[in-house]
Amino acid sequence: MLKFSCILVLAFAATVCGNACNAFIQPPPTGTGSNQQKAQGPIPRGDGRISGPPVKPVDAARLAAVLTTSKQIDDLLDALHQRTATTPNAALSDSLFCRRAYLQIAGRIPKLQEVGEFVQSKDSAKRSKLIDRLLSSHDHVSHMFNYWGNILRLQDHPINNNQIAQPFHEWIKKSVAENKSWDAFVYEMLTAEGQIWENPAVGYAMRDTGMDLDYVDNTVQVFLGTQIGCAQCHDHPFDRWTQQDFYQMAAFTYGIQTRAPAGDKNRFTNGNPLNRLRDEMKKQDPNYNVNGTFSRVINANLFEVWENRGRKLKLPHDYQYDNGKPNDPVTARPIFGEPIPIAKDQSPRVVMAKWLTSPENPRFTKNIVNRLWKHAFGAGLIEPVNDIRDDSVCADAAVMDFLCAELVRLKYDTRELQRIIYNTKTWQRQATNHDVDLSQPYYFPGPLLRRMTAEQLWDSLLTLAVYNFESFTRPSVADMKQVVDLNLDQATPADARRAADEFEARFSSNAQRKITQERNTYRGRLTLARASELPLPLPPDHFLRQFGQGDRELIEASTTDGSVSQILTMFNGEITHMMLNAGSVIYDNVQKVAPVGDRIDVIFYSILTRPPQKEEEELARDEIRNSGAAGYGNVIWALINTKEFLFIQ
Amino acid sequence: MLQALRRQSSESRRQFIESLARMAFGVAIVPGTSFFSRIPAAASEPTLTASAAAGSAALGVAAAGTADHAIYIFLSGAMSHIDTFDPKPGQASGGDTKAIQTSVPGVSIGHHLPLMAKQFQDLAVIRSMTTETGAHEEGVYLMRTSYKEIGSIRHPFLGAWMTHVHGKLNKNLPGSVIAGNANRHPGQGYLPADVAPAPVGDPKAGLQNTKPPKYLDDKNFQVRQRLMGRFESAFKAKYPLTEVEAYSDYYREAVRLLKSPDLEAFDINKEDQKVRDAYGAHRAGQGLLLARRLIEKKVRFVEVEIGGWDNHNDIYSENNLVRNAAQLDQAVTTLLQDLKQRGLLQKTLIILATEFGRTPQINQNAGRDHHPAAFSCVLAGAGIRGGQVIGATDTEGRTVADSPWLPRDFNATIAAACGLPIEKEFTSPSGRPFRIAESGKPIPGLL
Repeated sequence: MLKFSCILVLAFAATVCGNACNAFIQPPPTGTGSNQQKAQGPIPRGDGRISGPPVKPVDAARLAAVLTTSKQIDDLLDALHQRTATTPNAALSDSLFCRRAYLQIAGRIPKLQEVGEFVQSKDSAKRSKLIDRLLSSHDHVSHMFNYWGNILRLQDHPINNNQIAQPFHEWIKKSVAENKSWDAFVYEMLTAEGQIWENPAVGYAMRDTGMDLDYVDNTVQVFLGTQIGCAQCHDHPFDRWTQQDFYQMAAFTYGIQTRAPAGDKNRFTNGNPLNRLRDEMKKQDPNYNVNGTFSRVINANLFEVWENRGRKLKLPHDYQYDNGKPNDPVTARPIFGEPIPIAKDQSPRVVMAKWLTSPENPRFTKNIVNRLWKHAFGAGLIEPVNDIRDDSVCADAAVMDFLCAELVRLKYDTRELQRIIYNTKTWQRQATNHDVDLSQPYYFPGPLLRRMTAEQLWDSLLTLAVYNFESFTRPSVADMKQVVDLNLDQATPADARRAADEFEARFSSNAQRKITQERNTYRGRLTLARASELPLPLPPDHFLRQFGQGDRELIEASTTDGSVSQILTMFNGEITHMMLNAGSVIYDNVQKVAPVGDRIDVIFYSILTRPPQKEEEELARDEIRNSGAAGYGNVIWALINTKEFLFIQ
Repeated sequence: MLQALRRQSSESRRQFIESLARMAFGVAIVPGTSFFSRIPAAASEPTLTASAAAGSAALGVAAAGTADHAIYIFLSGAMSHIDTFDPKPGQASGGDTKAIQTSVPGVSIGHHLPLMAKQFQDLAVIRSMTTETGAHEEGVYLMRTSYKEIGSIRHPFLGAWMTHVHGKLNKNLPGSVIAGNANRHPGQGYLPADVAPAPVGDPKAGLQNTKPPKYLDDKNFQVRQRLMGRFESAFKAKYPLTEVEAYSDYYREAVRLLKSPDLEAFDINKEDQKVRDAYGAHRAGQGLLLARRLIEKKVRFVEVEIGGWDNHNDIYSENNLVRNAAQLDQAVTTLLQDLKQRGLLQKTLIILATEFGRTPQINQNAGRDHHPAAFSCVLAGAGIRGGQVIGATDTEGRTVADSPWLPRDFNATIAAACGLPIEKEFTSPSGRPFRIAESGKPIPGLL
C-alpha cells in the first residue's frame, strides 16, 4: 500500500525535481533531439480561476434526513431482491467508490491529491461528505451541462448561423449551479419570452425555430418521457395516441414565434431594420460587405420569442380519419387528463406549461425520477426512459412511487434527489458483472457496468495531463451581449458595423480559434478545455465525436459504442502522448517522488484510482528496469489503454 | 397502411427492445463481425457479404444494378445548372456561359467543362431535377436521404444502406468513407453503428491516428501492448461482458489495420506523382483520387464533398464557379479514365449531386441565388447508359419543362443501380417503417 502521506507532501511542493529527462519516451535519435522538443511545445496550463457561476452548496445540515431517506430506498430494494431472488453485488471499496463518485458526479476521474485525501481520511462519514462536496462543485455543473446538452440538443448556432445560443447554455449552467428546482427550470423554458440576451431561457423555443410540430414532440419526449412523434403524421401504431391527440396537444404552442416581426410598424418605427440598415450602409460605403457579419449581427437580434395568439393550428390537408376534416381548426387539449378551458386573456403556452409541470401530471415527476435513476444506475426503473406507456413495466413500482413522492416533497430539488440516490448502499455496490438484457426488468443488484461517456473520458484525460484545465472557459455572455445586443429600431449603420467588426474580432469562430490557439492549444492542433467548454457540435473527427458525443441533432444522440477509430486515437492520438511529456500533471507527479515503488503507486492511483496488485507492480518494475525513463511512459500508456480505465466499475 | 402498421407492431416491438438493449449498452447481443464497430445489423435484416446481386436476390428483389461500389460527389452550396450541364446560350439567363458541343452529336454543355464535353459518351445528365426547398441544410439532407429532415429521427445516407444490405467486401476497411467536412451529415442514421461512415476531413491527410509518433518504434509498441494485456487481465476476468469483449476485438482489429497493407489506401501521397498531377492538386482532385484508392481496396461507398458552389456574388470571377468547374472537370474526367483503365468503372457508379440549382436571373451582386425549381445531376459508370440527357428545363432554365424528377427518384435510381431493394420496408429502432429511397421511382432509360 502506498505511503500516501509522502506523496501528498510532495504533491504540494511547487518545484519539480529531476531534469534528467523531459519525457517518458525513448530518447530521440542523436542530433534531432532539440528540434523535436521544440516542435512539441509546452502543455498549456490554466491560471486556476474558474469563471463559471458560483455553485450553491448542498445543505450539510440535511445530511441525516438524506441518509434516512436513502435507507428507506435500500429497504424497498432489499425487499425487491428477496422477492425476485436477486443477489446484490458486493460493496465497493473506498478507492473504487471514490472513482465512481468523481466520474458520476464530477464527470472526471479524481486527481491524485483528491484520491489521497479520500483514501487516507478516517472519517466514517467520508463517503457522504465527498458526495456533498462533489454535488457542490463546478465539476458537477460541467457534468450536468453535458448531460442536458445531450438531451436538449444544444448547439451553438441551431437552425442557422445567425442564431447565437450561448446565453441559453450559460443559463443552463447557472440553473444547475444555483440548484434551480426542476419544475421552475422547465416552466421557465416553456414560457420564456423576449430576446436571448434578456431572457436566455428562450433558447429552448429557439432551438426548434420553424419546427412547430417537432417542438411538441420533443417537449413531450424530454419532459414526459412519452413518444407522440408517430402521431404527427398518422395514429400511433403501438401506443394510444391518435393524430388528433397530437394536433390538439400542438395547438397549445402553435402560437410560438421565434423571430421578431421585422415588418411590424409599431415595433420598428423606422421600418424593417435589416433592410433599412443594409440600404443605409450601402449608401454610406458601397464597398462594405453587408452580407457577412453585418447582416448576421442584425439577424441575431431579430431572434425573439413571443406568442402570436392569432396563429391557429389546423388539421393537415390530407387528414384521413373520421374524427375531423382536413384543414379543420384544432382546439387545444392535453394528452393526459381533462380538457383545460383557455380564457381569452390566457396564454395557451402558459396553460400548457402549468399543466406539464404540475405534480398532478402523471408523467412529469415519473419522467425525471426515471431519467436520474438511469443516470445513476445505467438503467431506468422503466425502460426505455423516453417511451413510457400506460402498460410499461416498472422494475419496482414501490421504489418509483416512493421517489416520486419524495421529489414532490423536496419541491423538485433534483440535486437533493441525486444526493439521496448516491447515498444508498445499492448505488455503492460494484457494477453488475454479466450481460443485462433490458427487455427484462433489471432488479438493481448494483449499477450496470458502463463505458465512460465521451465527455467523461475526455475530461479524465485532461485531469491526467493538464494543470487547471477548468480555467479554460468559453467567453462570457455578458461580454458578448455588450457587443452584439443592439436596439434595432434606433441603431445606425455605424452601430451595426461596429457591432459586426467587434463580433468578428472577438467572438467569431475565427477569433475564438485565435484565442484558444494562444491560450490552450497543444501543438497548434488540440484545444484543451473541458467538453462543456468546447464548441457544439464538434466536427465529426474530433476525439469527443469519435467516442460517441452526438451531433446534437436528435434527443440523446450520443452513444458509448466502440469503434476501431477510437482505438487508433487512443494508440496514436495527440492527447495520450502529450501526457508522457514534462509539464503534464502525471509526469510531474511521478517525478516528485523518488523510489520506483512510489512512482508506480502514483501512476496506478492517478489512472485507475487504486494501488497496483503485487504482480502488476512487479511487471511495472521490470519494464522500468528494462527501459529506463521510457518504461514509465510505457506503463502509463498501457494503463490508459486498458478497459479498466475506460469502464466505470 | 394503418392496418399494415398494426400488424407489424408486435414484431417491431420485439426489434425495438432488442435495439434498445443495444442502445442502452452499446453492446452486441449477437456478436457480429465488422470493422469500425461491432454491433449486429438490425435483427430482421440479414447482413450479406456477397456481391450486390447475390445480396438483392437473398432479399427477394430482382437485382437491377451491377454496381458493387459507388463514388458520390456532392457539390455542396448548390451548383448552378445553367453554367454547367444545362447552358442557355443566347438567353439573358445564360450569363457569361457559352455552350460547347460534346462528343455526343446534338448535346452541348457549359464551356467551363471542356473535358467532360469530350467524354460525354460516358455521362448521363438529368436536367429535370427539382426539389422542395431552397435552404441548404434541408436540401442537402433531402438529397442524401430522400427524406425531409425532422427532429425525431435520422435517416441513413446511401453509403450506410449499401454496407447494411450488401455487407463489406474488405473486412479490414470501413464500408463507407466520407471525405470532406461532413458536418451535419446524416451518416448511418438509425442503422447500427457498424455501418457508420469513417470521416476523413482532409483527403490529403488521410485517416487520422494511423501513424505512431516518431519515437514509438514497432518493438516499443509491442512492449506497450503486452503490458496493456497483462494489466487488464484481472478486470477482463471479473467483467466478462459482451461490451468489454467487443473492445478487445476492436483492439485486435486496430492492430491488424495498422499492420495491414490496405491502410495505404488512405494515403494519396503513395500515389505516383503523375497520377496525382492528373487528378489535380486541389480538393476535388485529391478527394477523387482518395476515392479511387479506396474503391480499389473494395470500400463500398465513398462520398467526396466539394464545396464552394454557393455563388451569390461574382459567380464568374476567377475564384468562383470558373475555378471550381475547372477543378471538377479535371478530377472527374481523370477519375473516369483511371477507373476504366483499372477495369473498375463497370462495377463503380459515379454520382454528381448537389442540393438545388441557381436562379436564371443574375442578381445585383453578379451572382445567382438559390433555385430549387430546377437543377442538374449526373450519373456515370456501372450500368449507366452514358451519352444521354434526361429531361429538360424551359428556355430560361427556370422550370422543368419535361419529366421532373425529385431527389428520392434520383436516389431510387442510384439504389437500383447498386442492387438495393427499394420496395422493401425497413424498421427503425423506434419501430417506424422506412424505405431506402422513400417512395422514389428509378428514372427510366438510365440503367
